[in-house]
Amino acid sequence: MRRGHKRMELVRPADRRRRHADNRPDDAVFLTRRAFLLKGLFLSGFGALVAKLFKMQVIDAAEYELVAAGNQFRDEPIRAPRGLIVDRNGNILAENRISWTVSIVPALFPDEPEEADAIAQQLIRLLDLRDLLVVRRSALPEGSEEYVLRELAALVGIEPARLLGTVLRSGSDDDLYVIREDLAPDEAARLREEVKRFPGVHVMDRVRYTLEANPGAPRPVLLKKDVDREVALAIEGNRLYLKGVEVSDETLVRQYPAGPEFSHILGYVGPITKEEYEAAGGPDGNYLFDDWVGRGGIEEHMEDVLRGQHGLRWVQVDAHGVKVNELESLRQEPQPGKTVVLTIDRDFQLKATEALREGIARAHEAAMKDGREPVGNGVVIALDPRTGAILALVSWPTFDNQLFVDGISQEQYDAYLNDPFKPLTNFAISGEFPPGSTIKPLLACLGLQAGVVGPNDYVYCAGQIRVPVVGDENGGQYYYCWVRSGHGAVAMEEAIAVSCDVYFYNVGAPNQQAEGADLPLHYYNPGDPQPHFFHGLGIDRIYEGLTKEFRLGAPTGIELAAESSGVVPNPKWLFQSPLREYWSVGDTINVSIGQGHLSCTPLQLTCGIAAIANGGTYYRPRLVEALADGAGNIIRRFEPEVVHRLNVAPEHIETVRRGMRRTITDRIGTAYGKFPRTGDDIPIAGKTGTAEYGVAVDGRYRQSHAWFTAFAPYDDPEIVVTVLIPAGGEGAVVSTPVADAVLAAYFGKTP
Amino acid sequence: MGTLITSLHARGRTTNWGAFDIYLVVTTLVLIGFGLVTIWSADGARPLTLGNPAVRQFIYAVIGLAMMMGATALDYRYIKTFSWVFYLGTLVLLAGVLVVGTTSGGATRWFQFGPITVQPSEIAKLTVIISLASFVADRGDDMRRLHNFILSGILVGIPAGLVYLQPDLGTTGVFAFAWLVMMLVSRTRLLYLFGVMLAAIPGAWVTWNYIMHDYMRERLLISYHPESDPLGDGYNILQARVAIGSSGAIGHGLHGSTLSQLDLLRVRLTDFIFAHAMGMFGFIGALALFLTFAILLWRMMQIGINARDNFSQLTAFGITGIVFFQMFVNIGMNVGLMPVTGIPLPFVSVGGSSLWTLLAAVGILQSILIHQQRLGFQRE
Repeated sequence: MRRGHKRMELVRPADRRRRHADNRPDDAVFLTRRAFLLKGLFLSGFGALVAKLFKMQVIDAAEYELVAAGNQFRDEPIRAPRGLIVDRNGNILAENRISWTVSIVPALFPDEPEEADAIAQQLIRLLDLRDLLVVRRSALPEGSEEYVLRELAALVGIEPARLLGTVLRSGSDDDLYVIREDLAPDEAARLREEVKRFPGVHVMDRVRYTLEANPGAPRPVLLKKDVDREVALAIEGNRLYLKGVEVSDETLVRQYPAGPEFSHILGYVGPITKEEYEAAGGPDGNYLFDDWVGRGGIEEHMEDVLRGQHGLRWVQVDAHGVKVNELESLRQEPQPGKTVVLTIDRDFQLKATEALREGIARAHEAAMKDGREPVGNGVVIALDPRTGAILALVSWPTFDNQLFVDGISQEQYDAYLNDPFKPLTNFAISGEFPPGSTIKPLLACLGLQAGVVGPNDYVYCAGQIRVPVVGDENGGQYYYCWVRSGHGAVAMEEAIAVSCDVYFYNVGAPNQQAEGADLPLHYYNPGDPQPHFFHGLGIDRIYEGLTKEFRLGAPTGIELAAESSGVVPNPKWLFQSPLREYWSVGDTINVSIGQGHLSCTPLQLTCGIAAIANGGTYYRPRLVEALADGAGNIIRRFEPEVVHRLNVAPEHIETVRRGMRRTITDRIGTAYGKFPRTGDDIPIAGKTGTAEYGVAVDGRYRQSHAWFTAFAPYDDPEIVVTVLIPAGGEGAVVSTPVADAVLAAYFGKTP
Repeated sequence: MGTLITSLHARGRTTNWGAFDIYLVVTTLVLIGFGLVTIWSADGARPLTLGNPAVRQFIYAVIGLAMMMGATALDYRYIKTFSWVFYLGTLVLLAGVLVVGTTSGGATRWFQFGPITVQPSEIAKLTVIISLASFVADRGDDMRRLHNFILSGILVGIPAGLVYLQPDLGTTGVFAFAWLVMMLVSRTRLLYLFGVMLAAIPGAWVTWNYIMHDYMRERLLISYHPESDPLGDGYNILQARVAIGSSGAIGHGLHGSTLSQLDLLRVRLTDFIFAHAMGMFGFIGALALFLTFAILLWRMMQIGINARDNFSQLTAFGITGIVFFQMFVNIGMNVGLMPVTGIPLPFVSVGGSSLWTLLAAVGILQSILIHQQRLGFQRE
């Protein structure tokens, strides 16, 4: 039967690869199975749409109807309170104070000029708003912008280049640029007359500026923050008349109740900049456009933890812009920031600051008497060598971080910037100083471990050595001990106790033979023709040891920004530095006593000493002990972090510890009898340092940084204290009394 | 004799008008009617003059129905024979629109002929399905081979890429979905499809980060946070949601929601026509609309399942797929489940190109019903 078939094809059963696949018996099965998948997909699609519509049209219909009824809805942030910062005992270091904020909603502000003006005048009176000096960029006469701005700069006493740069080349695309805020009434009146001749330059009141800078904005724009409760109530009571004006409830303002002594640790909070806001994701990010962010210190470092998560609410406002309702189902609760618990002890920090200020004052008095430079800086660091936890971190002078929150005046800010003692710098972590003799315990560890000196090897100190140069065996360079009469024969422990420089020249300078020299590197004692050969570490091993074992030359990783690295020099560094010099043996000799190109931060030294004090474990210094929730329950505790275990045999560390103990106990020790308050009861070990700088006269420097670093109790140390008074003079004289007072405060002694 | 005889050409074969699917026509007419009423209401229920978009849509519908009947009468095998002509013609149109097309709202999608605008990407939806069906049917079981699978992807990928350049992300998605559905019912290996699904994950990441325009990303994201920009792009989305939510279970009747803001809904005749329809008919109306679409899709899919040859199967599933996809994405973006991508609601939204294409597609499906051999094989 070939009825109606134009073409036929015989298909053998084995031939599965037909060119044309007409329906086969298994087709229906195949298609039904595949269609089943599609039907499932389609049904879930319908299901999702029906479910969503049911939620919108049946469950939430009432709320949508409210929106549709013509009432205006606005979303408002619910600000998350910033987390607290407390000390190890729960004393509050940073908290939030309730205040009120007055804003205007430009979209709701009356258009009618008389009414608008009346409201503006009322606000200016109630809130004591000052006028602003602004430039409208688009209205500056084309071609003579520069002339106008130069004239203007002269008028208000701003550097013309600065004004030109910010107005004409600023990245911001706002038309209005504020030159001066908070003009005093008389100044405003004067400027108002003066700027009349400049097109595009205006003196405006704050209300008008806010309206013009945010034309028609449907959201509240800040007018004044931190308003008194009475004023807030007065405006709130008049809200029917004051159209478009809003009083927020409960704005939180950062407060630092423990005082400026904590500013370097805490930092402060400041308004977010436009760039930061955009970088954080703008409206989709975690910040509000008028939000606060941490600047410096723990506030910056722990920003993500402290910040919390803002919430959101939809509020219904009537025709007058008055809130009448909130859509509860659309509310997103804020997540408050977490409390940061510091390792710092508030009272101890205050006492340490007090002790340091007294020490600085004494040093300053002495310096003035001797005709040296004035003394105004100081650092105290106290940490627990068993954990790396920092108990006190003082850098004096300090600044008042509360001023930065409340709005610092230009004068005050300039005063901080121009202060020669740099109150905005945290010298404990950012200051780089030659460590002087306080480096000796570290080098002693390296020397003993390397075997270049034995604990009982004696070196004869005659007060000075002469290192001949190649080709001039009778000449060369003199290097002095700080005791010009010499210490006689000293071994490691005494050398540390008396801080013998000649001994440590021997620890540092290497056994090597310069090209063309008859003898390996050597020195002569005065009046002694016998050459003494060096066999110390040499700069490469010093560099290795100080950077690898004691972590100098790199930030310690404390939870603070702006930490300096310091410098551990070596020949490569010196040649690549701006000095571009070749390394000489004199450089090694200088480094051996913590001078020359070597520098470190007080915190780096403290951490190195702590590693010796506890028998060889280097902990990362820590300020953050734990995180807590709003109720004070600890939600996360940070464990001590071992960065490194010193590759130094325990008996060598013990030798160095004994030497540091004998600094205090030996009659000839550099800190003997310096601990009237604590020395009798508490076994203290320490090391003095007098790091000279400036210009030498007859091998003597007039200026020096006064160091002292100590740990106690000797047998089982629980605290390391480092005191540095830059330009303070001798460590043994100037810094030891501060350490005595700090240790007394720690161990509960009264003077 | 045990030999399978296959019939290939239908010349001289009788046309079986009894197989004509009346459900398909009725649901189509219900949807068009629903659309006409909604368009008339959304435009402000103005008098029925020639300037009224509802009247214009009615005229398009009449012409479209005539086209549908024409397509029905035509043996679908002719369409298959000329599918490569359709395909090349489509590519020319899509490329041409990029060059001489009319730009509106940042996209170049339309040819302007006096008062009439033609949107080639709408026509392409059907022609690409037909071309793909023809290609796949010709390969039969050879589709199990990877190179044929890849070729089929390229075949769809070229017009999809041209549409993407307009840019029209939504229609690109329609092509992709049609291809996936048709591959599902082709004789290709499911393994390839799983591979494509797996590759889609890193592919989506690359597309998002390197290929998409900023405006696309923004539009996709704004759908999920319309509140962040209530006066800008988020406006339509927010207003649509308010219109839908406030309509409640039964809606506000023929004049729609009293929501005054809805007058400002800028695309309420096209992308957001569903929002206005909800204002009129409420949740009950939504259920009725879904029921109509469900019947339509069910009938379309049945044509595919019962079709006697591969080309018919593939064409029917492809058409079913794009109708579902467009309906889901359009309503999904109205209610906030899907990003806003400018896909019309099939048979309902204003627009001649879309309506004609869909009606022609329905005509082709009817043609499959009435022209296919009742018995695909017989023993001799």
